[in-house]
Amino acid sequence: MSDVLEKKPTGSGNLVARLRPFTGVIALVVLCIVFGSRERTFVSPENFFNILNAMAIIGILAVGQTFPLIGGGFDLSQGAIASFSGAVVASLLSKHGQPIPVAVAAGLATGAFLGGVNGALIAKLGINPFVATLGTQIAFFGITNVYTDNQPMSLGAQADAFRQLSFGHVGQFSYASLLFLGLVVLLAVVLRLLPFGQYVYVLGGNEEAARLAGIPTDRIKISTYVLSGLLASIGGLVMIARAGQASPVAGVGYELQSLASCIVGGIALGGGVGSAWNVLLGAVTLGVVDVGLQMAVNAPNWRPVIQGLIILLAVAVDARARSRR
Amino acid sequence: MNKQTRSRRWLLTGAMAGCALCLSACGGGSSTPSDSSTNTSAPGTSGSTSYSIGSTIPTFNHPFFVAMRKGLEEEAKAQGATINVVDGKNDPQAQLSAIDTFAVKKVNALILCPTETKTLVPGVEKANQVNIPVITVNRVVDGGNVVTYVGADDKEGGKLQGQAVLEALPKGGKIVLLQGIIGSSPQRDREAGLEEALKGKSGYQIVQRTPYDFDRTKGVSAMETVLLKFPKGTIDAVVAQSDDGALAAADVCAQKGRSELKIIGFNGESDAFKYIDEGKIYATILQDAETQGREAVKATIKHLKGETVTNPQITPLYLVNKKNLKEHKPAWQSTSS
Amino acid sequence: MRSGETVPGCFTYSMSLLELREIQKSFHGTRVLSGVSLDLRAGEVHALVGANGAGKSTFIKILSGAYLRDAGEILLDGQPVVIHSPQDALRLGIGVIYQEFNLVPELSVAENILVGQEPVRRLGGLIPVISRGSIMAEARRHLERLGFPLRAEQPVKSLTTGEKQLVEIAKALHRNARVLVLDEPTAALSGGEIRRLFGIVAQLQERGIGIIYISHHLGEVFEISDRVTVLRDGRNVATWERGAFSETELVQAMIGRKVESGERPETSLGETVLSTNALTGSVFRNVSLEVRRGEILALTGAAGAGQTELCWALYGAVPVRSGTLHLQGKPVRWRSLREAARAGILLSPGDRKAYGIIPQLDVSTNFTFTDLTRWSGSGMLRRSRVRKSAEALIAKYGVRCTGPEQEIASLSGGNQQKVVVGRVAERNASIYLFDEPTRGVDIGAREDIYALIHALAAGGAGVIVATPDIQEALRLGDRVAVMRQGEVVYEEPIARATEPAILAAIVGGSE
Repeated sequence: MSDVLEKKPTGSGNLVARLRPFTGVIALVVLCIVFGSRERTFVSPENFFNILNAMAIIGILAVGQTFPLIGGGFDLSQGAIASFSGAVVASLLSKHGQPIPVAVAAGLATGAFLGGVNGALIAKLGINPFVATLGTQIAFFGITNVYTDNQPMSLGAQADAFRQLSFGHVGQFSYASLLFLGLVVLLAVVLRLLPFGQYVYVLGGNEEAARLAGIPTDRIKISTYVLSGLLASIGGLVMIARAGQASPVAGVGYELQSLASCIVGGIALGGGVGSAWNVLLGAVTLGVVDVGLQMAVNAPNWRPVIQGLIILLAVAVDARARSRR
Repeated sequence: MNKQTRSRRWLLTGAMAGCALCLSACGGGSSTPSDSSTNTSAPGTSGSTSYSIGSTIPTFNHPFFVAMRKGLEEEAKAQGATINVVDGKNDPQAQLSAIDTFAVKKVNALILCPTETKTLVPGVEKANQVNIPVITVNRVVDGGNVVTYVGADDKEGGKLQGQAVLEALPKGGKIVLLQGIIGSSPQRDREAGLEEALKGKSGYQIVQRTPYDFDRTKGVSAMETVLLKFPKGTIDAVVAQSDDGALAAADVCAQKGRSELKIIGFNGESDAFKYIDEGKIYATILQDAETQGREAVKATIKHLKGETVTNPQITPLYLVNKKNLKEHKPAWQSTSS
Repeated sequence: MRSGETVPGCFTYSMSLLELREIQKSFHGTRVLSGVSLDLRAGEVHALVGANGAGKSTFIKILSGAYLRDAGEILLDGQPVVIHSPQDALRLGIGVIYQEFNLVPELSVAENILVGQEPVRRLGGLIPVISRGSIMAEARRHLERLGFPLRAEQPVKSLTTGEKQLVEIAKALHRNARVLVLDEPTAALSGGEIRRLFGIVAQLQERGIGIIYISHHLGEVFEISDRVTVLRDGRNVATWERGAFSETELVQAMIGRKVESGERPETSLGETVLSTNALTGSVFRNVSLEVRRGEILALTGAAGAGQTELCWALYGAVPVRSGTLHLQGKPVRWRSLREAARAGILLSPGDRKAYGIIPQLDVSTNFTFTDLTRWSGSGMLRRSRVRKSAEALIAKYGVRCTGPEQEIASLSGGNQQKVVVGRVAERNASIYLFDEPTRGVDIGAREDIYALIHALAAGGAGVIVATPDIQEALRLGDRVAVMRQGEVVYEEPIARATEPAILAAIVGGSE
């Protein structure tokens, strides 16, 4: 029997359907116009690269967050994984005098491993993602504190070379922003071209259907968290390059920003929908809001309020559009 | 149905745009675009236009920094300059990002209170690169070119705390140190000062160091753990690197019946004054954040006008105990008093 | 000749494609299947019928690999097979189309058909890459071969229920299903879609696919099945060839007792209690109806014609655009549903999963949650009273469950429906709106619900029953109305209403 509240699409309303994918961009343009009108340097090319660079770390985390999100879950431990991976790299560089490639590999492996822990808790033990990744967030931050003995850890003799990750430029693009953009492209490839990507969509869209179709749902689920952890550790690399040290209090709250980035960009919290474009849009939007508020709104107390309102508005518009199909 | 959906959607988008446009209306009085962007590449050379100062401080949430911000903003206003203060949220990355943004915005000067001494060096260097003069307030950075440091000498402050210990425990004793955010210059320098004051004085020993991040709640749990570890008779004094810690320690001691411990704080907020009066805290080091903010702005404007500015500019610190309590005013009003 | 044996040279068209022998299954010590057997020939439609709780779904779940049997054998083409998981069943070519589809709503028809079997190219011989182009092309080919009118690129969430069902069937066939189980396939279909489904079933039969067809709609069973197997209380009761049984025999076998075709008690009709004038909402238009006290108005029509929406609008759950609604002579415009209920109009919703039950809670709560003040004393909920009432209600409505604390989600659909209907019927109202009250309910219980509805009318209330089942409409209504595309196109008192006329009104042609 036709569901009362489920509307079958009729032929008309095409304009709305065609416009829907663009509400995010329209909003972004509106914001830029508003900020630019109050502060002319906002719309300078220099600021464009500034914004890209400012949100690169969160953007990298958001790329990772996409996997568990589309698969129907999410990862609240990214900030902690980034922090701990950074500490591992720093300690290998400074205390154990390892060459950079080795330290980096170890950091990435750490991120992937911690992500695997998340995946195992969620897929094998059936703990729900909120509880599981919140727990691991606390645990991983704790481990970082122990590992660093509560002190920031330097990058050792190779600090300058390593920190090129933060200082280096290609043209006006910082290495960090290029890394982010490259990862976005990689994300698009994985999601659209690889069977794994398709399976993540199926898993998130209807887990039962995936299981019945013979898709190894446990394995796919764990993989999404491994990827989320891996990308968090990449973010951690950039973090320590920028700070020049690994700090036990770095990364707090970053996972919430990465989640917000994805959701503002249009990835649904329920799973089954989303694309690399959403991540790019969301990260850029958050960056624009953050920098724009700093530049153009001179009532600092109001900044978090306005920021929250904009995020809420973006999510509400998207939710509304979604429910009307 | 579709018409309804469509009109609602437009309404929502329109509301968003309108909301965004409202931003243009609110928060008036900020710099008009002509100020900051038509400045010549060497800022500070024009004398009659008002200056645009960018600033970032560690947090907006602690009364110490609320007072500092007050000093910054009020002095700027008095001098006819505009100042844009950005919340560092205790995250050095956020401060670095703010400095990048200020560089794009081409502010005339940067007043920085860094969350960490080392991490913010690249930020200072970036400002140096684009010819934006940097003034640090209350905390130092370990590198880069800084026009001047306005603030207390934290090391002096630490020494004063040591002096208070020597007064409070004339026969010597064991001391617990409650530390602020590890890596910040106050933590580092006050600790160094304290150690120097006690160096060579036999009978005085720091037996435990515990961080509490300048946070009162964390101070409570830190102190409770300390009391569990050190029963009566094993320690004699507690030095906290801010009044949050001292007040927390005093409360815990009162609760657990350990009022024999001598407690020393730092900052001089009104609650600390009250506790000193009541004998719960032995002494504190008075530091005026608001004045530091004002002086920083003054120094900045002086520099922008082309006048020479002394570096560093040390604001005074006072050892406040029960004896001289009446001579001093608290640095700010704690909310609970 | 025993099935499974072949005599060389003999045409073995009667050899069983699938055979289940003496299947036994118990849950928590309760015996659910006591040695049930069924065999299916290639190209046959074998209907499986039984009352709710007779064991049909358990039986099918064992076949589909969702449950593991305790005892018994399954043979495919005469060879014993092992089915320990849904994947096993799929691999053996057994496809089950459940009532709740297993589709991914955000993905396209093509992606759903090929899920788990996407064609991959190997880039550089190593990296597997999905080609969306080939998914679309492959799906289109498949759909063309089947003759299904679906567009491969359409997102599944935008399809009607009937179309979704086609996708499920296409999906099963893509995996070379040789046995297809259709579980209540017509429950959510319109008349046209039902005919289309039957056409497809015939096609599948021609290809030699065996079909197990589960349905409550005995008319359908008569129409398309080659054989019928009846289950009752976990046992085989009868297996008949086409034409060898009558409806009465079938029903009797299902419920084990004689069924009285209910006589309508005579009721005198009172004043008009509900009337609408040119009521227009988002799906229905210009509806002007009247219901009197003691009267049952049966509203029928195709799916999506607006009956459900109309009921919801009368109840105030869905906004009305124009027109008037009068309750007991006074014009009303509900500001809240509580107001509606207090004014004396109640709705029993049709889609119980979405609106009727709270699945995680128990039977007792589901019976009572809308009106807890009845069991409260001085503002506090008296649980003992609730419990006693729940036990009485369970008995009154014949709900088969282990007790008031049983989680309602584990009841069969029909029993859940009884709870939903009972919950509403227990409260006082001047107008009762029943949307598909017997959805998923078996024959025996249907009679009970009909009796209940008659009792409510006899008690002086006005009743509107929306049902897609014409027989049911004729059975219940004092007046029958038909909606098509949002408008009331037919309305006659029961004495003058005929089935052909109603059908014609539903479909839109002339008699």
